[in-house]
Amino acid sequence: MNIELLYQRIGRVFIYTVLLFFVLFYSLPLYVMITNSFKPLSEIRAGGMLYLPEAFTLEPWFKAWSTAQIGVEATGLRIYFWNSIKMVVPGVIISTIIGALNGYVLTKWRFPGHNLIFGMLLFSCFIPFQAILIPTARLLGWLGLAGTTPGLVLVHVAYGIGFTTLFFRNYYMAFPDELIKAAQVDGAGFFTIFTRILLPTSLPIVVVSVIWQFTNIWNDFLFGASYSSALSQPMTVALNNLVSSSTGVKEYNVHFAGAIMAALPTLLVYIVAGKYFLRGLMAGSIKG
Amino acid sequence: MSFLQINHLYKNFGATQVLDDISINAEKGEFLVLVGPSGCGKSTLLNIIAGLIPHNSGDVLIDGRNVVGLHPSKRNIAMVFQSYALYPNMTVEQNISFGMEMNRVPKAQRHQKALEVAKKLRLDALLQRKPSQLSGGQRQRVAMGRAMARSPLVFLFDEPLSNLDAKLRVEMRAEIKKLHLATGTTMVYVTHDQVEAMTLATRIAVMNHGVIQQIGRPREIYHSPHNTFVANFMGSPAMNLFEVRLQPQGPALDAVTQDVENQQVIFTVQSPPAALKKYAGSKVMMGIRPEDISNHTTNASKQVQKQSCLVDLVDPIGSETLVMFVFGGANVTAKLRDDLAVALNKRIPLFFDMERACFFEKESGERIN
Repeated sequence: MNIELLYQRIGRVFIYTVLLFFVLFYSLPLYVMITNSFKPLSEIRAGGMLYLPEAFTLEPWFKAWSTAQIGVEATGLRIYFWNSIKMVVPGVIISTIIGALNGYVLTKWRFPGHNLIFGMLLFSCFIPFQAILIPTARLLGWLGLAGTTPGLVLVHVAYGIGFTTLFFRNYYMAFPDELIKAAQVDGAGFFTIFTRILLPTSLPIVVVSVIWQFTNIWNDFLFGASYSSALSQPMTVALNNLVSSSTGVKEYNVHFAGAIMAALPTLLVYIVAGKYFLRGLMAGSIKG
Repeated sequence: MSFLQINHLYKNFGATQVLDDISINAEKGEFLVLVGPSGCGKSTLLNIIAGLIPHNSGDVLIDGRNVVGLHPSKRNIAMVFQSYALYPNMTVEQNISFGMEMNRVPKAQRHQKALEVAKKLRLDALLQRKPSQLSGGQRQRVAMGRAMARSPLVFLFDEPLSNLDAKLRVEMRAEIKKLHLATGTTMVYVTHDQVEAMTLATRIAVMNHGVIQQIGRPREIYHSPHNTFVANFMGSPAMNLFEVRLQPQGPALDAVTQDVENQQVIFTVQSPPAALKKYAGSKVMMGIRPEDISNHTTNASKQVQKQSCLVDLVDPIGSETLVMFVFGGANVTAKLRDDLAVALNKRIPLFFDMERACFFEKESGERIN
C-alpha cells in the first residue's frame, strides 16, 4: 500500500515539475516584455534582459501612447488604438448578429437548399486571405470604401459571418424545436421567437462568437495593412510602423510598451467574458 | 357536422407516405386518443391539426371552420408537448401568459388569468419560479396551464406523459382526465401507451403505417378489434393469436389446433356467423384475451370450454399470475388468479371463454364476422 502511495507521489511531483517548466517557458516572453517596458533605454542596452527594472519609469508607455514616431508622424499609438476600436466594435456586433440570424434560419426555418447555403458559408472560412486581397481591393474601390474604417469593417464582417454562422447554427441545432412550435402556437412571429425565446438563452454562444471575432479582427494585420490609409490604420499596422521606423536608436522599451498595448484588449476580453463560457443556461427547459 | 373534422388527409415526406387518407371526426367534448407504435404518423397528424407542419392534401375543420392555411395561433387550439417546451428564460407566470402577451391582452388581465389558471393547477406558489427550478410534474402542469390560458376550442397533447416516471404518470393522467371533465373541451391526445389510451379516451383511433386501423370506443377496440394489429397492440399482455383449422361439426364449427406435444386441441364455435362458416376447411387465426382464459368455471358464459394445457412458463406479477403455454406454434398467455400454485411442465385444465374469442383471416389479418 505504502509503496503504491509513494509511486503516486512521485508521479505527481514529476507531472507538476513538467507543468511548471512549461509555465515558466511560456510566460518568459511576457515577463521580458513587461519588465523591459518599465526600464529606461540605457538599462536595456547595458544587458540583463531578465533583471527587474532598477530605475522604474513609465516614460516608455507615455511615449508609445502619444509621442512615438509612427511612420512619418510623431503621434504615438493613440489614434490608431481608436481606429482599431472603431473597426472592432461594429465588426464584432454586426457579424455576431448576422451569424445568430443565419443560425436561427438554418436550424429552425429550413428552406430547400439550406445545407448548400450553410456549406458555402462554411467554405468561406477556408478561403485564404491572400487569395482574395486584390478582388476585395477592387470591390472596396467600387463601393467608395477604399482606405476607410467602414471598408475594413465590411471585409471583417464578410469574413466573420462564416464562423459566427457555424457557431450559432451548431448551438441552435441543440435548441429544441418544440419550443419554437410552442411559441408559434402562442402566436409569436419570426423575430419575436428569435428575440424572446432564442436570444435570451444564447449568452454562452454570443460570448464565444464575440471572443472569436474580437481577437480575429483586432489581431488582423493583412487586411489592415492592405485596405487602410495612413489615417485609418489599425493598431497592428501602427505597431509594425512604430517598430520599423526609428530616428537613430531602437527604443526597445517603447516597442515593448506598444506591443503590450496592442495585446491588452484581447487579453481583457478573455478575462471578462471567459467565465460566461460554459454557462448551462438551458438547464431545465427540456426534461427533469 | 362534427366539431373536429379531418377529411382525406394525405402527407408524405419525399417518397414516404406518412399519412394515407386519414378521416376522423370528433364531437364537441370528446377525448380522442390517437394511438399506435412509433413512426405510425400519429404525431405528424397532431402537428398538422395544429398547423405546425404542412400537409399535401385534405381538410381540417374546427367548429365548422376550415383551418387549413391558418397560422397555428389563429386556429383556436392549444398544444402540450412531450418535452413540455417551457421557455427556459421566463418565469412560470410569463410562460403561462406569453400567448396572451402575443395577443396584446392588457397586463392586468393577463396576470389575473394566469393566477386563475395557476390556482386550478396548484401552481400559484410557483408563479415566480423558472422552469429549471421545478420538478417534472410541476413542469408538466405549467405546460398544461399555458395551454389552458389560451381557452382553446381543442386541446392537443403530444405524448405529454412519456417523460415522467411511472408513478407520476398515473397522477398526471388523472389530472388530465379531471381537466377534461372540468372544462369539457375537445381533446386530441397522442400516445404510444395503450393503457393511457384506454383510460383517457372516449374514443380511440389506432394507427399503423399512416393508416387508421380502427376508430371506436375503448371497450369496442379492446373486445372487438378489426384486425390482428389492433388485437396485438391494445392490451398488455396482448391478445393471444394462434392458428386453427376450421372444420364443420353439424351446425357448429370446430377450431382445431395442436399443442406443443402435437396433441389435438379442439374448440367448438357454437352458432358461428355465416362469414366464419365460409372458412370451413381452411386455416384462420383465433384470438382470445389472456383474461378470458381462467382456471375456474364461475364464468357466467355458457360457452366456456375446458382444455388441457402444458405449462411452459409462469410469471407471477403480484395481482395475477401469467401462465404461458403453446398452441398452434404460438405462445399463449393466460391471466390467472395469483393464489394458484402452478408447476412447470405439468398439464392443468384451463377454461376458455369462447364468447370472447375472435377470428381473423390468416393472410390479411382482417377480422371475420
